[in-house]
Amino acid sequence: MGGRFLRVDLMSGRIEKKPLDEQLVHKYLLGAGFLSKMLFDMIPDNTDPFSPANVLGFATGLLTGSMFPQSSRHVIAALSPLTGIWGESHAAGFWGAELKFAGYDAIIFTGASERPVYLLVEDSNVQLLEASSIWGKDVFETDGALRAKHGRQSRVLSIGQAGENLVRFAAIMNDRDRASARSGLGAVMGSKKLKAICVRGGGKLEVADPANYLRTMDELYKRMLANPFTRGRAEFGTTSLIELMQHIGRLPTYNMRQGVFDGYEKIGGHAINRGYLIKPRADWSCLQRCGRFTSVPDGPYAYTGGSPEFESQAALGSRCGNDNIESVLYSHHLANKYGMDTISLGGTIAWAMEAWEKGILTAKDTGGIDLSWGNHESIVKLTEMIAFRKGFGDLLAEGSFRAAKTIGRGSEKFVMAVKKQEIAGQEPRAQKSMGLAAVTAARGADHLYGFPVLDEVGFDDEIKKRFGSKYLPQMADRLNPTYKGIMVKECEDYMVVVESVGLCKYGTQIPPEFYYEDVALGLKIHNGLDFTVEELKRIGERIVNLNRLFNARFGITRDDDALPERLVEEEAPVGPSKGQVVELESMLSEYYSHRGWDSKSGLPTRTTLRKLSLEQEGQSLTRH
Amino acid sequence: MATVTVKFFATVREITGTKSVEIDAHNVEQLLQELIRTFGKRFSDAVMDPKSGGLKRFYSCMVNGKRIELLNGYQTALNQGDTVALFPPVGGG
Repeated sequence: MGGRFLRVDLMSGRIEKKPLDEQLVHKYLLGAGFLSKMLFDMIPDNTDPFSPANVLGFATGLLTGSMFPQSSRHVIAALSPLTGIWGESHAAGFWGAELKFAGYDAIIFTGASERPVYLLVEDSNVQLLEASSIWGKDVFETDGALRAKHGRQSRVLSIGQAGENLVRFAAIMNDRDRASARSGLGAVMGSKKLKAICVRGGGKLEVADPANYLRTMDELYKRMLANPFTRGRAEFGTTSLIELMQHIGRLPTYNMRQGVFDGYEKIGGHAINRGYLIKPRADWSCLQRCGRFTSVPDGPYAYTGGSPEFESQAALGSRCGNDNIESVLYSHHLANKYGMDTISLGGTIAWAMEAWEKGILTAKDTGGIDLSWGNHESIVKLTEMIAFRKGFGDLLAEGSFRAAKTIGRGSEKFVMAVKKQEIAGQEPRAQKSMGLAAVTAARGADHLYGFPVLDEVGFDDEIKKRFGSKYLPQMADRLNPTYKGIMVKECEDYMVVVESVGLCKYGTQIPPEFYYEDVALGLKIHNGLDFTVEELKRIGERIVNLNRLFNARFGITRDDDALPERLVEEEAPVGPSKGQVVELESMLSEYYSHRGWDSKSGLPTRTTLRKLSLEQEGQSLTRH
Repeated sequence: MATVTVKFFATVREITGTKSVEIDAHNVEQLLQELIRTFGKRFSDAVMDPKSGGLKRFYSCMVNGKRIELLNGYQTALNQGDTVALFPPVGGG
């Protein structure tokens, strides 16, 4: 099992099975690290994200498909059409594990096909097949058609109409409702005329240390099950974060104008559990079960399928001033069906709603659609129109940054984005670390690249263990900017390692049950790889620096590490964080200092690159 | 003695069976004792750590949106009209 990857040239149709470079694995692991290095080398400077020169990579982690708790993840990367810089997205489900069982760790696509195609992977049988019959189908139809043709046990990853129509925040979906949503990678897949990857693997699970495998994994399972978070995750998933965020003033509301929403109870976890929950769902080897199935039984928003998590509830709910839960559930369902990122979808609609409120956008611009806050019928309608680029939806399909550039008239200041990607569901004036993490993340505004949640509800013991007691109480205080630079830096280093081994952030960061030593143990028992904790930390740091070098090639400097003016200059108007702003500059300077990046340019210094054995890759800095 | 509103969330609300109650208490410690008296053993078994006498690990008590650990812990004084939120382990994004 594994040890090799597929390289597929969509122009010529040539498929190669290539061995993994062991040295590359020792330097970057697999998953996010592997793709960071491969795509850094393969994507030329000045590439247009929609051109055949863009490279689209899919990779499993070293532990994906193992028995390590929550080891279901795969990573997708390319040059992003939304941001024009490093694009990366991740998902759980079963597709990644299935790819492992078919015998492959990763797939790299180059070029572009002239006609719609899909890739079939059935162990050694790998073929590019004609996809004209499924081109134009939605994600659920595509899943059904390919599994009917190739076997119900096949696992399907695909784009919907949004990816085909090059919506700049199109997602890549797998297992029907799992989304690699951010960075618009679905549009890259659409530009390459690649509709789907259908995988069936019949290989055996081979482990490096069978004598100790089950005992070790059983111990990790028991720890995860005993963790106090596990029960609540299964009961509420992430849906009850709505209530928590309301109470810390971090719930993005009215396009991030404020962090509290009067209608929060109507779109929260209790409302979903009470009226719409069918049952929790788990992905491969998952004990947390934060996924769910829900149903709206009747009415205009009727559906049955995957449930939104916190990010979608916030983006399509409070961010748009919408307390109609059935419309939130349904627009999320449509986003999955057509393959779109709900964060950018809600963020873009919220931008339009604020521009409407200010009279910048009128019915003349929108084709008669009323964009008053909370107009749920308009939100649902726009979700469809964006996916198909119809009418006003064609403008919004470009994302809020480009839409504002087109509209002008002062609408630019209502764009709540970093590096052209919409900020996720964290009102950063209520959690300073999230403000910093949004600007330092490699893929543009992003809460997951660093996922610095240790100050969210207080993990004082974990902060003491991971950083030391001298950082308390400031680091645990979400409103205090002190020590957030080192916190975000260390969290980023760890999170990219987690994304390189195929684990979930739930279990490694919140709750912070597993840390480097557990990852090292998993790699030894499962893969037979010996890494010390220090070596893993160094790899994490290397990956983050390589991502920064990639972005530097596409023009990123410190000037781009900026939040919207609202969040750094306007005090939060109401709620528990009233009066707060994000003290970005001080946190950013501390961050650069710990990163070993030049304080003026925001780029890695020669000393840092030498320390991380990135001298060769760093030569790209001299070209720009 | 201040009258405060205590709000319950997620699995804690399932135990209390109510969204919120009004409680009279001087400080958080006294408030928790009052909640134990009101909601009984099921509440204390779920929420309180018998060893430390405080909340179980990762349970979060906030006064007006601020964690008590960053105020004065269980001795945090309560003022008339304060909102106290009680959450089970929950977090993320």
